Amino acid sequence: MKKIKNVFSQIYRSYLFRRTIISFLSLLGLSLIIFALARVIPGDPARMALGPRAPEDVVERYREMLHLKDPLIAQYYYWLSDLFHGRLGISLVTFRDVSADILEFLPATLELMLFTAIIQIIGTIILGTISGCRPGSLVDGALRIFAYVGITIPAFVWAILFQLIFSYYLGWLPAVGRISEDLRVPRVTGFMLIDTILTGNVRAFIDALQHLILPSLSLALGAMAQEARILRSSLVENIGKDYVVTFASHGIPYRTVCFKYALKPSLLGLVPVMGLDIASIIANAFMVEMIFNWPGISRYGITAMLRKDLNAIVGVVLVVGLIYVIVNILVDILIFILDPRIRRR
Amino acid sequence: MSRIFTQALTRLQLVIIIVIIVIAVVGGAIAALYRPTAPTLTPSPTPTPVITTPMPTTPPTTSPVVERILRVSFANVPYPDPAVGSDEASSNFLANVYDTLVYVTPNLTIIPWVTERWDVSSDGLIWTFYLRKGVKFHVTGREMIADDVYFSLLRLITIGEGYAYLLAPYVDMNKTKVIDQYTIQIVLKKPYGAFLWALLRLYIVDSELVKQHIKRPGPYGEWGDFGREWLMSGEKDAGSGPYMIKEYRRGEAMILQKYKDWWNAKAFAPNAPDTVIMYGFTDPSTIRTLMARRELEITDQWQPLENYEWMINNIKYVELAKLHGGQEFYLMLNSQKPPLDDIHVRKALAYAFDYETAIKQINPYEKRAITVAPSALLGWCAPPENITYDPQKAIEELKKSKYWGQFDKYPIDYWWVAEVPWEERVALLFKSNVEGLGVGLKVNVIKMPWLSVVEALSKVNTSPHIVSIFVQTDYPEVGSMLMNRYHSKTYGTWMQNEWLYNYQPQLDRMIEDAVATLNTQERYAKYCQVMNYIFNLYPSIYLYEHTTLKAYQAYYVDWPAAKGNAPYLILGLDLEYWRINVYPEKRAELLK
Repeated sequence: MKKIKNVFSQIYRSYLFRRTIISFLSLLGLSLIIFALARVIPGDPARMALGPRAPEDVVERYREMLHLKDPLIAQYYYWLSDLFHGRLGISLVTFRDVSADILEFLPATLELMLFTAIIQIIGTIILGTISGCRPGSLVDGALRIFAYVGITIPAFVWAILFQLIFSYYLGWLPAVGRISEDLRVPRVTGFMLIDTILTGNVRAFIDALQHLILPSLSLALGAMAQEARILRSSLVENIGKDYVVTFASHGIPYRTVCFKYALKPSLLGLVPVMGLDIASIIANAFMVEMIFNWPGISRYGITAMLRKDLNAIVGVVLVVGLIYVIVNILVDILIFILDPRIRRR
Repeated sequence: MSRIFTQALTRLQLVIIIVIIVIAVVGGAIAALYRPTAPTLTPSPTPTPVITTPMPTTPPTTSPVVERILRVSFANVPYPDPAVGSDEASSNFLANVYDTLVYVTPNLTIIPWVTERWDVSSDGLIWTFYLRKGVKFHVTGREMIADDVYFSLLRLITIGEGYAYLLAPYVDMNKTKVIDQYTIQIVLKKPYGAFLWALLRLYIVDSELVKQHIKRPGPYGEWGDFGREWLMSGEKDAGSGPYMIKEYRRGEAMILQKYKDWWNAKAFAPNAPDTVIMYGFTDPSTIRTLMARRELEITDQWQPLENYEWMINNIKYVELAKLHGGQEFYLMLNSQKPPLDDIHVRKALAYAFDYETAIKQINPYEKRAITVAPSALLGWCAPPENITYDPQKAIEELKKSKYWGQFDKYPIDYWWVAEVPWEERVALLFKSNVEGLGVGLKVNVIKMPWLSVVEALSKVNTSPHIVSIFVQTDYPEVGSMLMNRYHSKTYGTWMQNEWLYNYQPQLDRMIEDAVATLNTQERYAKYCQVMNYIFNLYPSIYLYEHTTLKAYQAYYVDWPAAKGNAPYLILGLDLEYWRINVYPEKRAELLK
């Protein structure tokens, strides 16, 4: 009995368990807030979905189907019970279950997000390290200017610029979509790159990769510039610390000191920022998705808000919340791996 | 050597360098090897059909080896279910994928389509349609019969969405019946002069195919979900029209392909597109880029004016189609709110507005509207008076008003829709004109999001004094606009802010009587009477008859609507893909 109690106590005390419980409660709270807020937006959702000329009985049927005439708390109860059955309610824009829509649109944004994350991480480390290891140099100056430009220009402006340069003027990369019109890739996972590999279609794989470049680059640049600045500052600070000076006094080359001994601790402060930036892509990608006609969940979410698609709004916000939670947990794990002090604690 | 190399570079540096090299090599290879070539020249899956009708204005090309692709942008990707969609993209999709009993010519004459002929009883209640033989559905290849028409009608009315509102109030499904395999009798509850127009929206589905995909239980009782989920999935269509679904990329595009076994295949334009791609985006920079790359043939109608002008001025052979149609822009005056409850004030506001400036300075492509419905509609007649900007007359009218001398107590709220920025300029012009009269009238210009406008217009006491909105007709007769704009059925919707309670029930009766009249000339005469009756109440200020603008590739696309040769007054019928000629060889020339 004592053993079992111990096990439970260990589980309770375990980081992941606590995080999961807190995350679940956060998501529940988020769903409640967004559920209430979505219903404050003016307009009758059923009438808006069906148009001004739809007969009143049909509109009424929708109101009943969505429980719009019930008190808010009852509506929330119905929604929750649906949620536990794997349904998120009917979308008033696509006229099917929101969960089906999310499953359809989420992979496109996740794929974009992952590709953006790769560009962002690589770019940040390269730029931040080069700049931070040579503070005050010409390269540092150039990279700082780039960083300022990157931070100040929003992603959708980059998207338009890249589209103009690489699609319109140079004609190197496609302007819209996930894959060219003449290619058909059977949907397996919804991730175009994976599906092209699974179906063994090399041409489609390269085509899909080409389609990913511009939107991901547009989304990555701003965050990359900001994070490179953080990494630079952190590196500059660490390079001046006693342990680094000691390494250098032992005759270890500056490059090695910088890249090997100063970089790792400098990354610690960056990881949470990077994690949040990557997670934010899912919510902030809507303009980029619009410009590149990317059928992702971010664009779906914005359409839902503009059309007062109640269930879709709540569904999308929940997914965004869930992604934030997952990314935060991953960030914590990463910090746990990177920082021996936390491991010891 | 390798030792020296590893000494010089740390592991991390090596990794970084390798990653950069890999990215550069892969990126370079992708960009270089797969740089999009000029045209997509792929063998045509089907030979180009024999030239019959209509004749293109540009001579047909001799080489049929390239696929003819037509790409068009819309505000959204269409809804594939004919009982659900009624927006522009869906209307266009449905008109090209599904057949209807009747159709319409470019000069707005109703003609038999999958019906060979029809009879109508003397009271106008019983309509008998005799179906054409040999009309085959896309997926099953089955012949269309009267059961399919009955099922489609029942399905549309039961679901009650999309275009159901055009038929549901009139059709008596209890009495409507199939007479034989090729004959159906549709019985109406009351006479309906525009019934044939309404039938343009009865898209006939393959009933057997849809029945196979019905999910039970569903919201429609014994009919389960009426096959709605399956049709909405866009996996296949259930139509028999000139085009069929090739692929539905949800949220991205609808791809159609030519249906070579269409019953009316001889009507295909000789160079009609083999593939049509209907995109669902309107972002101006994307549209511009695609037009410049010749990867979009016809744009949507939602571009800012500057974008259209940029395209026609900077992209060679891009021209602007001006489709003057069935939409009108109104300043809707709330007749229940002081001081607008006084007809003299409403009349004065009509005289106080500078229409010429509103057209020349704000929307140069629009045509001046002069009465309750657009002049392009059938049954239209000129108003009893041509209202022009006349401040003196406006003051004279105001003097007759009961509010004269106390206008400062009744400020007028003018709402413009926040999502349409140019409307603010109209509002400010109105404010300047009205306040310029110098009689104490004050106008508060208020920017209001569309959702709030819709919400406010649902009740008379929350409706503003004035709101400016475009309204579209459902069919190309004045009666449609009268029903939408001034019948009490649309009170509480965004289609009217006038709240003409004081003139009811007479106004409703007049409109209903006109719409129910079977004899066309008689109906048009009644429309005219109603129009003039409403005009004399001065319930609205008529500003623009909307001209829909769409940029298109004039060099290699022969688009009848751009030359006025299409029934574009009917939503979606400006793009009858089967009547459009596309010349990929000419496109290739431009890309060289």
